[in-house]
Amino acid sequence: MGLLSQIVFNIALSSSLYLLIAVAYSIYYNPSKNFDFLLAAIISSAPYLVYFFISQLKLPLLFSIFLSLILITLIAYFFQKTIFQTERRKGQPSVNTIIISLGLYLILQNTISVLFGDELKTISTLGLRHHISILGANGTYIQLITLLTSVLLFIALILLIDKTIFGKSIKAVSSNSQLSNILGIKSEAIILISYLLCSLVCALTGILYALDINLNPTMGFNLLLYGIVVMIIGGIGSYRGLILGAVLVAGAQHVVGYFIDTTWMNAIAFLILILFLVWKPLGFSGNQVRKVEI
Amino acid sequence: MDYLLHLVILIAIYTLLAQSLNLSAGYTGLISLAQAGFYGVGAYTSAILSTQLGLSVWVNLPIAMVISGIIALIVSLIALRTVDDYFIVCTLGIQIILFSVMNNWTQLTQGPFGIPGIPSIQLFGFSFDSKISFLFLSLFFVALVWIIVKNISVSAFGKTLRAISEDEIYSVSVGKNVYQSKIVSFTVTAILAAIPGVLYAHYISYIDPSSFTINESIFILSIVIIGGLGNLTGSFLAAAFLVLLPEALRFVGIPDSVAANLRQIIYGLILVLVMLNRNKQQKVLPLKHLPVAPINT
Repeated sequence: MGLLSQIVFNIALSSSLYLLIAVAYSIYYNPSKNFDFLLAAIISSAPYLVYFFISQLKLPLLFSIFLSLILITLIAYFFQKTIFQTERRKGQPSVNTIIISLGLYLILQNTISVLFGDELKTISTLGLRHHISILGANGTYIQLITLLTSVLLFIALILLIDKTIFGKSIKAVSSNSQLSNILGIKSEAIILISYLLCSLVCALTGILYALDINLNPTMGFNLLLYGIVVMIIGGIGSYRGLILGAVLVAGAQHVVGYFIDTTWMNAIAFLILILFLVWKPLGFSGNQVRKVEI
Repeated sequence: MDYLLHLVILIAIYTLLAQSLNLSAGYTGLISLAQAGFYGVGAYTSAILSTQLGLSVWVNLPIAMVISGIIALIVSLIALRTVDDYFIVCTLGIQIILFSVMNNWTQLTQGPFGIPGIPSIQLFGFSFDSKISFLFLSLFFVALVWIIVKNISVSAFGKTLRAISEDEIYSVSVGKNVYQSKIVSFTVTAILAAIPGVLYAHYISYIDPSSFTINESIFILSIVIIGGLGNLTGSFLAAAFLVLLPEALRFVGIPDSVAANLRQIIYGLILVLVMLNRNKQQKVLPLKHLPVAPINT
């Protein structure tokens, strides 16, 4: 009984992180149609900033998190404004943007490595890692906080997309950016805000993950990739699909991790992606992936 | 002197990798992030066969190419159901799965400990032990792959690939089998990528998974892009430039621990700058040597 609830708890924890990144990513991907790997560097630089504020400047944890989120938003704004927006304006193919974002990812990730070193770092968390028992499973305070934050944030993001003018504008730009420009929705402004929102959520997810486990310069890449896999297999634009996708990826990872070896967790996520592309190329539901709309 | 030769051999290996990737990325427009994976498949196949079964390299090389080709064929049958950006994410997935296999299937690959003691290449009793002889061997393969890719690119099939990279829908509409052509292009790329893998394994005589990571894939892609998509000479020059770059850093006196990261920062920067300055019109290759069909009036 204890083992089962432990596995369920772990799956819930991982899937909540993947879900957050998948939702955040789709908020940006849908209107811009850009895969952006720079976000991987954003996921890992946010906890490093927190680490820096706490260990070097001796700031309190919550204030450090707040500061690092502000800084991350500024960084995201800078790159989006100077690089990605001009690329879109020039009408460059999206493949170019992917390669640029990969280049930027390399620059940021290696800058972190140079500044902080490649070894694992731990953010001192003042007892947040104390163990508690949750419905028979063994967890820590920070894991409980992560779970609650993710659920609340997920609901908030859904409400934002479905109930507000901003969310409707995102949907409008997603379905046809030129037409929405004609109707008075500034598509570039919407994409910019959606990117800031996306990097904010990604940064927060990265911080929560780092508080629970540890941080190293490449941690963001895996998290982001899981998020992208969840987004693709969930079907773009479907919340139910995203939840199912997140639970499926996290579930498969933990089952494989428990019965075979945890080192295979990386491969299994992509195996699921490939299996989906064979049997259900459209994801659980949602839009088709194809070259032309007819 | 030995060290200079070592660098030239590395340039040759990366030229091989970049030129084979150029076939799919440059000519067909299939940007792949799995090149280091197939490179690793080649290296590991030959390493395992020669250390455990004692087979000769000249037996291993075709086997490695076939295995890499089969994996690419299966993978491309699946991954090419998607287009553009999704395809890149798929190749990223393939890269990560291949890396996981190298890193985790410890019975076969010894995982992170790697495979030591890979014998050097022998041919008719001559051993390619010395750097200079190995250099000539790798130059032979560079020439071979160069000729193969060049010939494919100017053949009728190569023209089909170019057409796909320019306008996929149009290529379908004039009756080209786009799906099949892409599969062939991707598979040939992987088959050719196994060659530098085999060379690398027998040259360094020790391999571990860290040589075949996603960053390596991005590095190879950078070579192709910096050299110019569909430009084989450019690939060679870019390979030389990017391999020699860290040496320049060493001369300036930057410690090795930082130099590895700095090297990646610099090629990331070059990648971004090259992409930013690339004009949309220059996305496709110049078609000057293609015959122009007469217009019927």
